[in-house]
Order: sequence, then structure tokens, then C-alpha cells
Amino acid sequence: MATDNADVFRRIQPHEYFRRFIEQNVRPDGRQLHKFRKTTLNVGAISTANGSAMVRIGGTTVICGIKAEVAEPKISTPDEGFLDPAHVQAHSSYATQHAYISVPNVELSPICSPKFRSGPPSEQAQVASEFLNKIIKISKVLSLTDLCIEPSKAVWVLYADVLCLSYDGNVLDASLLALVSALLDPGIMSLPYPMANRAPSVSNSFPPLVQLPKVTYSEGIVRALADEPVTRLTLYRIPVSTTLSLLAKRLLSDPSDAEESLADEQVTVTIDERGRLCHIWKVGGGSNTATPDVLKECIQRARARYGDVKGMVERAFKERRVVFVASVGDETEMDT
Amino acid sequence: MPAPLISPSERDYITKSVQANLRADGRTRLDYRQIVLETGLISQTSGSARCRLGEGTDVLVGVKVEIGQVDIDSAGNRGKVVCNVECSPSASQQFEGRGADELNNELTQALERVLNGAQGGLNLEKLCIIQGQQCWVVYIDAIILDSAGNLLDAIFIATRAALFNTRVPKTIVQDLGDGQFEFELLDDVESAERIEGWDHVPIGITLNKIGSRYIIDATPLEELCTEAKLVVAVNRKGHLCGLQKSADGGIEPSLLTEMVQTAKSLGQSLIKQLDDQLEREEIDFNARRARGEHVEKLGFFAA
Amino acid sequence: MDRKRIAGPELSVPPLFDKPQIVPQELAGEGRPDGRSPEDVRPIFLKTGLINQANGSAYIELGNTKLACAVYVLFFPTHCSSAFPRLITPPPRCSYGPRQNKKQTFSNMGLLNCEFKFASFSCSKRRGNQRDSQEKEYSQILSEALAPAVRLELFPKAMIDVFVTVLENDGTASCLAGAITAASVAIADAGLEMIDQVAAVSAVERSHHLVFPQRTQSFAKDQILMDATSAEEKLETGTLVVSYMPSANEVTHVLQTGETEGPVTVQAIEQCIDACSKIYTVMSAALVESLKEGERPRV
Repeated sequence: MATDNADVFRRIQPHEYFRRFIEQNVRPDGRQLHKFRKTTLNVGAISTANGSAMVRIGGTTVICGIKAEVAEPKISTPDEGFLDPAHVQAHSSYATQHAYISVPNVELSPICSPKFRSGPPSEQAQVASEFLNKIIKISKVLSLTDLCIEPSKAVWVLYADVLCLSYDGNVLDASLLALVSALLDPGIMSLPYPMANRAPSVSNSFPPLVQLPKVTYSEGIVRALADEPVTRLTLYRIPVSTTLSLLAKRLLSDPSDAEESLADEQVTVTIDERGRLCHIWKVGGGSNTATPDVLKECIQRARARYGDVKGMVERAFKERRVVFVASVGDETEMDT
Repeated sequence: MPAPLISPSERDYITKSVQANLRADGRTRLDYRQIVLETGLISQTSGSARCRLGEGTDVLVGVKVEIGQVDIDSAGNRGKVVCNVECSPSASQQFEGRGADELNNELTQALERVLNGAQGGLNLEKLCIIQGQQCWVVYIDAIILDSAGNLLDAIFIATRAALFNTRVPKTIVQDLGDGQFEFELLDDVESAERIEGWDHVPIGITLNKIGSRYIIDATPLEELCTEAKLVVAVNRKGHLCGLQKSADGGIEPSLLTEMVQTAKSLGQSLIKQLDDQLEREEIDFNARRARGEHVEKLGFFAA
Repeated sequence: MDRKRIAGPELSVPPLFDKPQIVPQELAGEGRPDGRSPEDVRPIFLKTGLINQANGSAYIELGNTKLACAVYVLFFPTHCSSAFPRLITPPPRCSYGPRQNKKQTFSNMGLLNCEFKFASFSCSKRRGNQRDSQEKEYSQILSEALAPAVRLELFPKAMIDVFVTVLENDGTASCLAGAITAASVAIADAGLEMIDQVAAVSAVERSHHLVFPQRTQSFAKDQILMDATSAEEKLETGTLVVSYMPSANEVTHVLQTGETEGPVTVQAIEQCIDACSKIYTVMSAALVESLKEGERPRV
């Protein structure tokens, strides 16, 4: 009966329930406040995609699949949201010819949680898509020239669809990690034939590459050459985000769904491999708790988290294994 | 508009009558209602037909052939068949607004699955005009004018008759050399030809399992008692061209085999009867026209 | 235009691959490229409970075909047997009370609402985000294949939502078969009463007409390949998906396309029924496993 009472308490007074836990520096799932949930990464699992990655953070599972297609570049000037003005100026000669880079979309379908309904994307999904779009475009993760096939004739479009399979909070961190890992995935372009020669012919080494088939352009037709080695795409920055929630004036790393829905404020800090800030996003407020010191603490935790995630991503590619970070400073490995 | 309901006593009455092999309208389990079929009703189409089952179900099918682009995905030497079924809101109150969307999709997919591909019978390669560029696209549009059960069978019968009635204009392809081709359409109505393979187009037989037995050509009340439906597409040779179960019930494997066999023989004989009738009518039509007589179509006043 | 998603270019196409004109030997020959015999199905990986927000869930792999299924019961079933302790303490924030059903005013049977979706990256050609007519049709087939097994009469007015997402498609027919199998396990995982589990399997009928295109050849050379991959599907003349309840001995769904002589299809259906019984043991094992896990304290 005791557990039933706790359950009733949680349902009736969720704030009070959480506050009592947090006062003891622990969360209902047993984590300390600064701990992240177990994070798992699996790259290249989907052979129909040009690149793919599955990320699990605790009970949250997202899959990112990248499909590369060919399109005509935009002739008009790209709008402001697409490229930052400095970039347009510096490379004005080709900026208009390589407008499409990647088209990230996050799908929070009804499969992942009873919160979501089928139909057009919910507001939360739109926010998450825009978050990814901004980081990829404004932080110059990809170079525009790398995706050009024939100037002002044909460019690559990378459709990156992030699908949430199971929703338990912190979907932004999971989506960005899945997107970046999928872009890094050296998975071979799946060719219709020949089946027997499907064994990956490319070494699994880092540095980061996404592989596109070698193509030729003639008379308006882009042809992929099945036998030629693939063109490689370089990532110029590797952003990783860290989400923290402010709940009862305390900072909680990697909030779960229940914590997210109760949080007063939420901060998402995105930094790259050199520790430079890419993006900070804060929602909520009014409780005067997000002081500069708190923000500094957020960035501090994001830096610590970066190291763990980076190590995990590198090992996932090097060893082609499922790798996971149990929590900060405590790493374990597992065979697939 | 809620889905029609059926009372337990009505259900019991129908189930028992199926068991006794004597249905409410006097038919046995494997009897069709009277089929009234007429072709060539709509002058704007390449071919058309209307099929009525008894006093209720009424389906109009128009076939239109148009010139379109060849799919690059395929070998580039095939025409295309595009099907669409639409339930007119006048047919039933349930079809008002978006009420018919699901049924439209279900019927369209069922028709498309049978007609698109090798089992559809039509010789798609003959519909290609210039390799890799242009081909004939056969648009098959069916409208449900009145609904009183067994829609799919009526659609299949009308489609087959409409394809019998369809004429495709002749084309003359000119080789301009250098891999360039040009084609010319012949206006002459007399030279227009049937689509090759129309006689291999299958028809669908819907079997409704009620109780432990099954019936064909169900009325709306009988459809409400149906536990499982099986649509079997059969062509003239008696080959199976498609099989689909629908409705929320199961079928025992032995009964399933029996149903497939029954549908096969029923379908083959129905196709033969329909073809005989269609051909007889055409011979009669041509003979009367040769004598200079005016032949009047009955149109919507038939039957 | 879809303003709720990040827009890409208006038109984009996959690059054209210069396909070899001849069919590779291993596909034209008698054997199969992955070394299976014609009646073998691919190895199946089936696991329940991966989607922790759902009342029941299952993940299935048939070779490279991968799909996930979640079941949400938006109604707390009072008639449920107490054999499934998970139902007594449902996942947090699970909605209660029958969800209003806008389509129908009253139904004295529960409604099985299935939604089938291919992820946009799951097929060799990119798929749109909105459900197309094939996905709508598969949704309907899914619900028709499962309805005979679920005791819907126990949940009047309620709605059972079954969501299936295909992550990787290696054989479209196998996606449908896998979806039925996974959905059946997920419904059982949710603790809903069922008459039996529904196992489903796909097969392709391959005649040698395509390989040796002489139309006069008899159908005697037809081969039935169970659980075909997408490479094998390209050479098919017909496909078949059968779903079957082994203990109740009932076929819950049949979908066949392509032209065959009757006996070939009848034989193929029999083969599929045999294969379904084999898949049934995998399903039972996965469910027993999920109950064992339930006993362990959750971290």
C-alpha cells in the first residue's frame, strides 16, 4: 500500500513530490541532480538511408535517417534564416547557387507518447526542427560548396528526418546527437546492385564523413556512378547540446519528461568540439533564478558533458559498436 | 450520420437463411442479382459502362486515354493505368462530407492492385508510343451512383465492360533520325483500336462469410452480418489475379481454399456470360448501323 | 505547402544509378542471394517494452526489415485479467477515460485504430511525411488482421490505438507481415485480452517468365520464396501476405497480388500457414521474456 500512497501523492501534488526529492539532492529515478541518464549510440543501423544513427537517453529514443537527393539550387537570394549575412557576403559568388544544405525535421509522432496526436507536426516538433535547422545553418556545420554538384544546376539536398520512437524528456539533446552522428555516419550509400559486393569498402576511421555517391552531371541529368568511390562530406564543427531544467531553484541535468513538465525554466547549451558556444536557448523565467552564475554553471556542465559524448561518438565509429555513457565520468561499453 | 445498425433478430434471420441456402430475396447462396450492363454512355470518354445489380447498386465507369510521360523508373516502354473510385454523396447518407474517404481509398486500392501490373491483363507495352518518352495513360474513373451492397464486384464488371468499349486513337511514329522521334495522332475514329489484352482483364468476386457458409453479391443487410469478406480476382483463363480478405473476422484454412475454388469457377463463367453478351450486342449494333438504322442508346433509362 | 516543417526545395530527385542491364546471377538462379532455401524465413528478432511510454510495445527485425509498434489503450480496461500486473499500475501520465470518438456516436465494441507509417528514410526512395494511400490501406489491413484476435467486445466505446513505424524496408510485403506480428505482440504486452496471437508472414511468387521472357512457358517453374527481400521482390510476379492464428486455426488476413493458377496460391497459403506456426513460437518466447522482466525490480 505504501507504494500506492506515493503514487497518489505524485499524481495529486507533483510539485511537492519532486521538491521533497530535490531537497535531498536526488531525483525520483535515483539520479543525483547533475547526472545524465544512460546514453546509447548506434550508428549506421539503417541501410536504406545514406546515414543513420539511433540515440537513447534513458527512456527517450530517437532515430535520425538521412536521405540525399538532387535538386536545382535557388536562384533568388536565400532568405535571412537560411544563411547568416556575413557568410553571404564573404562567398557571394556562390552563395546563391548552393542554397539548400540540409532539411532537418523532427517528428514527434503519436507512437512515442500519448501526448502527441497524429496529423501535422505539433508546436513542440516545430520548435525542435527549427532548433536543429538553426544550429546546422548558422553554426556552419556543413560547407555549402561541398554539396554542390554543378554550380547553378544541381546541388545535393540532405533530408534529415529525426523520428522520436519513445519520449521521456530531453528530446533536443537526443535529436541533435542523432543528427550529428548520422551526418558523421560513414555508412555506404546503399546501391541497388550488386548485392554481393555490399561489404563496406571504406575504412571506418574518423574524421567525420558522410558519404554521397560520386555523380556526374550532363544535360540536366545527374547520374550516380555505382563503381566509383563515394564523395565525402566534412563536418566543420561538431555541436553537442546539453539541456538543464531549473526546478525548485536547483539545476537538473538531462530532465525527464516529468521533470520537464514541472520545470520553471529550461536552458539548452550547445557547444562545439573546441568548447566554443554555438547556441544557447532558454525558455521560461520570471522566478529570478537564472542568474549569470547559474548560466555559467550550465555552460560548465555542458563542457563536461561534451567530453563524454565526444568519446562515445568516436568510439562508436571506430569500433562500430553500441557505446554508451552511463553518466558523467563513468563510462562503460557494450558489444552490439 | 452513424453507421447503420442491425438488430439481433435481423442478424439471426439472415444467418439462418444463409444456412438454409434460401436468402430473403429468394436467391440461393451463390446467385447473383440481375446484372444490367450498358456500354458507351458517355461520348466524352474513350469508353464507358454502367453496371447495375438488381434494383440497388449502380456504378458508372469512364475510361479516358491520354498522352503522358513514361516513368523513368521502369524499363521506359510501358503505359500506365490510373484508377480512381468515388462514392457519390447521393448514393448513401454515410458518404456525405468526408464520410466516403476511407471507402474511396479502399476501393481504389483494390481496383488498382488488380489492374496495375502483369495480372491486369492489359498489354501495357503496346500503350507505349515512343520508348522512354511518351505513352498512353489509361485513366479509369468509377463513380458509385447508388449503393446497395457488393460495390466492388459491380466496379469490376463495369470496368471490364468499359475497357471493352474503349478505343485508343492510332498513332504513327516518325523516325527523325539521331534518336529523335515524332508521332502523329490519327483523327479517324474508325481506325481507333481496342487496348490489347482487354479480354484478359480480371473481375473480382466478393464472398461474404456469414455463419459457417458464404454468399456472393450481398445486400446491405447481409453485409452487416458479414464476419469476413474475401475478394478474389479471376481472369478469363481461370487464373487467380488477386486475393484479399477484409472485414473483422477470420476464415478457417479449409474454408478459405473452398472459397477460392468457388470464386474461380463462378468468375470464369460470369466472364464468359458477360463477354458473350457484350459481343452479341456489338455485332447487333454494327449490323444495324451497316443497314443505316439509327441505334439509340438507352442510357440511364435502361433496365 | 507544408508550413509546419522545414521546407526543402520544391522538387528533388534521387540520383540515377547506372544499373547493370543483366540480372545478377544469384537472383536469376534457383538459390537465394543470402543462402536461404525458398521456404526459409529470415531470422526474427522480437522484443517487447522498448517504448516505455506506451501501454504495450514491440520491436521486430526480419533480416534488414525493422519496425516498431506501440499500443496505447486510452481506456482503463476493467475486465482485464489480473495476470498482467503491469496494467494495475499503468505508466505515469497515461490518459484515462474513453477517448471521445468523433466518427461514431456509439459502438458497443471497442475500436481498433491502426496507423501504419513508413519513416521517410525507410525505403529506397524517400517517402513523404504525410500518410499516402498505401499507408492508409496498410493501416486498414492491419486493423482487419488483428480485429479477429482481440476481444473488442470487452471494451465498449473505447479506442485502442496501434501505431506502427517502419524504420527500414527490406521487402514491402515483409513490412506488412512484420507489422501484424509486432502489433499482435504489442497488444498482448499491453495486457488486452486476446483469443490468440496473430502471426503473419509474406511470400513472393516468382515465375521464370521475367528471367526468361518466353510467354509460353508453363507455370510449373513457379517458385514460392518465403519472406522475400526487396531485391527479390523486384523480380516477383506476385506477392502474398497471410496472417494466421495458430491455436484458433483461423486465417485472419490474406492479401495476394499477381496472376497465378489457383493451385500455386493455395500451396503458397499452406506454406505461409506453416511458417506462421514457427513465428508463433518466437512471439510466445518474446512475451514470456517480457513477463520475466516485469518481475525484476525496475531501475
